[in-house]
Amino acid sequence: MNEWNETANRAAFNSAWEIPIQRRTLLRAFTVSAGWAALARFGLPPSVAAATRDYRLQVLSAKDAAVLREVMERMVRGGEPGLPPVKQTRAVETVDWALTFAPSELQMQARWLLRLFNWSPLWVLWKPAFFVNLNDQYQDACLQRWAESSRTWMAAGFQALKNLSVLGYYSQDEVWQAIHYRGPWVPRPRRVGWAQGEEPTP
Amino acid sequence: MIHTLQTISGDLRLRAEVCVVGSGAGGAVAAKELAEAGRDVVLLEQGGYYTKEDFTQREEEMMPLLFEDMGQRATEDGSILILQGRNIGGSTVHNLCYCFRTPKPIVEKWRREDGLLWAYEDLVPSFERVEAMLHVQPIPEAQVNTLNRKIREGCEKLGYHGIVAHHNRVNCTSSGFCILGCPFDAKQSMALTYIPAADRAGARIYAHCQVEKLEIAGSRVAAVVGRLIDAQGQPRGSVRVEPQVVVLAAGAINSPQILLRSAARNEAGQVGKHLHLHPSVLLAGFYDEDIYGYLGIPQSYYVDEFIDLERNPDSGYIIMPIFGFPVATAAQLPGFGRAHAKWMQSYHRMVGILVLLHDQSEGEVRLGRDGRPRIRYHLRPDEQALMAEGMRHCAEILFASGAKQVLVPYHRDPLLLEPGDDLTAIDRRGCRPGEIPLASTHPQGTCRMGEDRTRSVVNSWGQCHELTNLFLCDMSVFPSSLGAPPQITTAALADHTARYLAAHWSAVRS
Repeated sequence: MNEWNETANRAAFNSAWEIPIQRRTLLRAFTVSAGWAALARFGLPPSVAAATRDYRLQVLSAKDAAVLREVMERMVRGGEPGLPPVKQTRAVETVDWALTFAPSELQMQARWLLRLFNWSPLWVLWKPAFFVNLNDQYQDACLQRWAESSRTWMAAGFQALKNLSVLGYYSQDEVWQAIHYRGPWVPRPRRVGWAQGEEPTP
Repeated sequence: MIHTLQTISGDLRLRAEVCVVGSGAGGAVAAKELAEAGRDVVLLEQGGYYTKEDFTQREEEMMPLLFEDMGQRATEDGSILILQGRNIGGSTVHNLCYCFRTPKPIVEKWRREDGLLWAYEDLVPSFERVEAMLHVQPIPEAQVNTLNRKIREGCEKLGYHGIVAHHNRVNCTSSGFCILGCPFDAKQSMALTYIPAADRAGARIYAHCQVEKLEIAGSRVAAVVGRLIDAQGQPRGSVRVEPQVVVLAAGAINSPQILLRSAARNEAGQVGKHLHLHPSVLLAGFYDEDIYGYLGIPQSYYVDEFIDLERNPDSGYIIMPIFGFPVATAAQLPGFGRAHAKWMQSYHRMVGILVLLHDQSEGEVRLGRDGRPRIRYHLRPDEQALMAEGMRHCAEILFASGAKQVLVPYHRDPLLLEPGDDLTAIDRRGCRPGEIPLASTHPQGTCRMGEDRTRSVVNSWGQCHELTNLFLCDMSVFPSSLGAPPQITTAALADHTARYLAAHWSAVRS
C-alpha cells in the first residue's frame, strides 16, 4: 500500500466523518454536494501528477483519476505478473479522453461513482478507510462486495467500473503484447498521449 | 455535398421537399431513391461523417465516434447492451456484413397477421436493387477464418446445418476490423454506396444534426427541429427544416423517441411498443492451438439448424461465430482480477460463439423525464429456456471442434466446463437477464407496419396512420421479430417505401 498520503487522508477522513453516522446521513452525504466537500481534502498520489504531466485531464479530476487507477489495477490485473501495471500505461488518461464524448450527465455519474466507490469500504467492509488506502486483499474484497451485491445500483456500479477499467487498460499497446493481440494494421497516431495543449479533437 | 461542422456555421434553416432523418440502412436508401426521382432532399444525421482515414482500428477511439452512447446504450435495468450506429451510414459502418433477404415465411406472417398489402414477390425487385448497390456476393471459402472454421468443424461433426453466408464486401483484405469501421473501403456500407449516390443526385446531407422533435400542425408535420452538436454532444447551433414530407429513419429506439417528444398523435398508443431485440448471449471456448479470432472476416459461417421459419415462424434461434477486440472481450468475460487476467492471456486461443434469439418477447421505448429514451424489455421465461438450450448447443459445438474449456460467463459463479462435463448444467442455470451478459444489435418493431390502426403506427407503405406526410423507413416498422440479420430487409423496405412515395408524390405532399 502506498504511504504517500496515509496520514493526510486519515486526517481528512476523520474530519469528514465528524457527523453522526446513520444510514440516512450516509445517503444524504452521498447525494448532496455538501457531502462531497470533504473529498476536496482528499490527497492526490504523486504518481497521478507524474502520469498526467503531458495529458491534461478533461473530465476526471486528479483525485478521480487516482481512484480509477487503483480500481483498474485490481479490476483488470489483480497482481498478475504477466500483464503490465496500470501505472505504466496511459489507461486512466484514455478513459478520461473517452469520457469527453459522453453526455455531461454521464460524465458526472462517472465522477460520482468513483467518489462513492472510494468511500464505500466504510459501509461494505465496515472499515474506516478510503479504497485507495486499502491493501490488495481488502480492495479485492470491496470489489467483490460490489460485484455480488443484490442491490441493482451496486451491481450496475461495479459493471460501470469494470467497463471503464477494461476500456482504458486493454486499449494500451503495452498490454496487447501480453495477450497476443497484434493491434491495428494501419498505423495511425494515437489520440491519447499527446503533449499538453494538443488535446485531440476528432 | 456532405456538410459537417467544418462547413456549417451558425443556425441551420432549410426548406426542402423531403427531409430524411437518419442515414443508416433505411434513411440512406430513401434519400438516394427520392433524390434520383427528382425530389429536393435534405438528410439529417446526428453523428459525424467519417471516412477510411478516420478509422484507426482502435476500440477506445472508434466506439465514441461510431456508436450511440459510446456503445453503452442498454435497457433500463442494464441487463441488455444495445449497440447502434451513430454516424453517416448508421450501423452499416460497423456491422459485420451478413446479407440475408427477409425470410419468406416472415413476410407471409406479416401479410396474414398484420394485413400488409404486398407479398414477398413484390419486394424482390427491391432486394435485387439493394444487393446490386451493396455488391452482395458469397463469402469466398478462402476467407472463412480459423474461428469460423472451428465452428463449422464442430457443426459438421454434430450434424448441425450451417452455411457460409453472403456479404457486402469488395476486395476484402481480411483484416478483421469491420466492427471499428473499414479502413480499406472494402465494406460496402451506406456511407460508401447510397450516401454518395444521394449526394450525386443532389441531396443535401448534413452530419451532426440531432433531431429533437417534429412540429405538428393538424395531421401533418410542419417542421423538423433539433440542434447542431459536435462529436462530444455539445450544442453548436439550432436546426430547423421545413419540408413537405418527412422520412423518419432514426432507428427503432430514436424514431419512437422523436415521435414521443413531438407529442405526435398516437391515439392507439402504439408508438414505442412491441420492441424486439434479437437478444444474444455468447460463450467462449479455449483451445490448445492458436486461433487469433480477431484476424479475418469475423462472421462468415451461420448455423440455422435451430430455426425453421417455414414450420414455425414464431420461434427459434441462430448460432453465429463472434469475436471481440480486447476491450469488448474483457468487458464480456466475468469477474475481475487475476482470474480475469488469466482468461485474457488466452485471448489468442479463444473462440466466441453466440445464440441470437428470434424473440417473441416484447419491450417498449418510453420517454424519460430528461427526454432520453427508456428501454424496457422482458425476456419471457420460455425464451430464457430456449436461449439456454442454444447455449448448450454452442458448448457442444465448441467441444466437438476441440475446445479444452468452455466458459459460460455468468456474472456470479461462471461455469467453466471441460470435455465430458454434463452440459445440462447450462439449462439448469438458465439465461436470465442480469445474471449473464446479453446484447442486442437488432432493435426493431417500435413503430410497426400494418393496416389495423389500433395495432400499428404506419401502413403497408410506411406512411404514418396519423400524420399523412410522415413516412418511416427503418427497423422500427418491422411488424414482428425478423429472425434474420436485418440489413437487407431494412434497405429493401426503404427502397419499397421510397418508390411508393415518389410514385404518389402529388397525393402525399398535399
